[in-house]
Amino acid sequence: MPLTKQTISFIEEIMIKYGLEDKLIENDALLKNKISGVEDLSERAVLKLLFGEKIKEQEMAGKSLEDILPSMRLKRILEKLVDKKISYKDLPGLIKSGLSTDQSMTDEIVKLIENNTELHAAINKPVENKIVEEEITEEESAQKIITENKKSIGNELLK
Amino acid sequence: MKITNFYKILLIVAVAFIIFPAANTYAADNVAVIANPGSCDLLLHPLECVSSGIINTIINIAGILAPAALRIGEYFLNAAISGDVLGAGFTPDSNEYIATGWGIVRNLANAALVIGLVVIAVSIILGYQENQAKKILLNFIIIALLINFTPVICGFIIDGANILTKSMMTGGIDDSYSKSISNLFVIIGNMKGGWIDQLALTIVVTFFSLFATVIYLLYALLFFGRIVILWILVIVSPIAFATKVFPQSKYIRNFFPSVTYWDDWWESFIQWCVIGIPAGMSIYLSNTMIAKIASTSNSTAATEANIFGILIGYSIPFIFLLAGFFISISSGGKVGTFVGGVATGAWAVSGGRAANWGREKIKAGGEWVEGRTAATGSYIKEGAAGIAGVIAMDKTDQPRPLSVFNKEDREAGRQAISGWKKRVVQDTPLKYLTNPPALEKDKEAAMENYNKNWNRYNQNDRDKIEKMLIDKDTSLFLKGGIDKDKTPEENSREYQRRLASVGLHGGEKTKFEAYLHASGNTQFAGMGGIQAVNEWATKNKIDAPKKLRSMSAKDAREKIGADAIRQNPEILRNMGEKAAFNILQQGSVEQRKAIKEKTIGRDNALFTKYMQDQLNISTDRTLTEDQREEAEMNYNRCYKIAEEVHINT
Repeated sequence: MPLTKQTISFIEEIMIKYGLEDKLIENDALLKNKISGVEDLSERAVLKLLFGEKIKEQEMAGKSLEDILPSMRLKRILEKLVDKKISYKDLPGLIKSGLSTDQSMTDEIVKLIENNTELHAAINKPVENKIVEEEITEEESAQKIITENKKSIGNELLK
Repeated sequence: MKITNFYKILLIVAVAFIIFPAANTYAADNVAVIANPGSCDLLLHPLECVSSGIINTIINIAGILAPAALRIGEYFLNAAISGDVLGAGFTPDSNEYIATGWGIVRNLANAALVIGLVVIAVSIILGYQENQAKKILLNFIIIALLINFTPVICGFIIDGANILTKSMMTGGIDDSYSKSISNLFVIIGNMKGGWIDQLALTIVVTFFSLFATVIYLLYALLFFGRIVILWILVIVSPIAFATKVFPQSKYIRNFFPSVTYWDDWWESFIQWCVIGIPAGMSIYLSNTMIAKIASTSNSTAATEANIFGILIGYSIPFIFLLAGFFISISSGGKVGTFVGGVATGAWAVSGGRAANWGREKIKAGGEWVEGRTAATGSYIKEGAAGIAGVIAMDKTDQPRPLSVFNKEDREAGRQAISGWKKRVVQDTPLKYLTNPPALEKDKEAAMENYNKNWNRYNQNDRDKIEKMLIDKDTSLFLKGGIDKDKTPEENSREYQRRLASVGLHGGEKTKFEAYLHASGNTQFAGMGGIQAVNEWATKNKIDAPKKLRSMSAKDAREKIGADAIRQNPEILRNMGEKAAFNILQQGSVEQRKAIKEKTIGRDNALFTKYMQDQLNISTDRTLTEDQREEAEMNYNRCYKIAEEVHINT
């Protein structure tokens, strides 16, 4: 289940409070300029992804957003928590390894998460029936291209 | 004793002799007077006497019926253009039908306006489309007042048209023509040229009279119909006026069909009002001509020799009348269609063109059925698959060759393809265990057959088939041009040829579909890549940004492929946030990946540059407010898409 904008803001709040992404932002003048004065923290999170040049550089080097950004790693942990794939007791270990924080910081973050009512509500929300859809990849659909004869549009249908 | 046909005929002839004795002559005012063909000695010349009697009988019957029919036509037309009809009332005070009908409809219209007033009030209170609601309110007040005066407004217009019409038809239709026809029958009866001449002239004069009668009756029908239809239009006028308040939309049109909707009502009303003017003028001119001809033919006695001259003389005003009738109805649009249909039918019957008329009706019926079939969607069932099926399944050993242009054959082709596909799915496991190459052989045979049959079509038919395929499935048509065995240059040439064909043959929707397809196939769409696609779109006047923004979320998910998102930056820039959300929720893995890459992912440089440009424009005070607002909207749309991607990936 996707996280709400409030939870995204909550993640960003943690990042700011514990300076977990400061290095990435401090060295990026454009990004600093973009997020300065932005009050909505969920907007800050999106702007980081859109305009973060240092983030892009690392992506170009082959890293994923989860590898680069602690906020994305925390987002994944919370998504699992909401989807009940993990429980609150799994959090300390995951936070410590995921965010590379020391014990006291880890405990504080876990406590913040445990006290977050928005997350409680999301966890206790009844599971909606997800739309089950056949995932057709482009590779699969590409296989459908008929190539036998350039005039043979019918070949497409004969396959 | 059984009475045979021979005795029946004999009996009729005997009765005819009693009623119209061969040697007697009598006269009546408008009844033909059949002359004495000469003394007839029944004993000496029995055959001549019998034939003379039969001819005289025919002439007498025609001489009574033809002028009588003509007189009926004159009576009807005189009645139709009389003051009683033309001066019929159109206000509730002067016409009880209108008083009853109009009262009911006016109350309904007022009720509809009350509901409309509530909707406008709620809109203003909630601030939803407030300006629009205020504009409607002004129209609303004007219309609410006018509704109660519609008979007066309509009556004013009708009276104006009637004054002009009446001024040309004072005195009604002259009966001199029917009297002249009676005289002609007298002359025919007295002719000494032989019975063949008499019979021929009788037939000519009779048909001429019937022709004139039909014309008079058509005019009478037109004037009677005009009055009744104007009554109906006045009765429904409150509803038609009320619809003027509502915004134009197909739903409103569906709710108020035909003349209950303002546009249709106004068009019909004006046409029915003025239709009497050209018709009146034709009648006036023709009447003047007939009177002139009648006075001339009376002064110079009609003889056997000048019967045709008189007929030709009379034919001129009637041809004039006929032409005037068709001019009147052709100037009347929908009115013309209605009356023209009646007139064509009547003319066909009277003029012996029944066969052509019937054929036209059958053709029109056929087109209607075809139209309905297309509208209900059954056309789609035998779409591109049907066309391909015909080409692939056609066999030379069949009783008759299948045709792509035959709907039934296409349906058969579609069934064949469908059956073939089903068979492949069902038989695959078993067949591959027992005889693996069998299916491949089947497919190869079908494809070989397809190519062979395709080559049988001439260039003209191939063009037609291409056009049909473009209409049925544009994407399939374009995809069919890609051949893995060809070089990229060859594939590009064929793809561009097909793209050009879509530009030439396709409608607006088809071209947009082709644009989306080409956006995902830029390697084929032109060696200039995405630039070539966008140039093609500009050349073919496809407003892609607008169309992309107005696409439904489902359409966007189904029609915008991952390659199109990756290769054409215009697509993401203009995609609505709902469409993006739908793709992120329900799209394919590759679609989702493509959106992520191009918005917040590693390949988002163009997307963010566009956002930055829009941001700069939105704060540029040298630009107009509209330009700045549009740029801000563009920025916000892109931001929303990025936000959705972040939340959902």
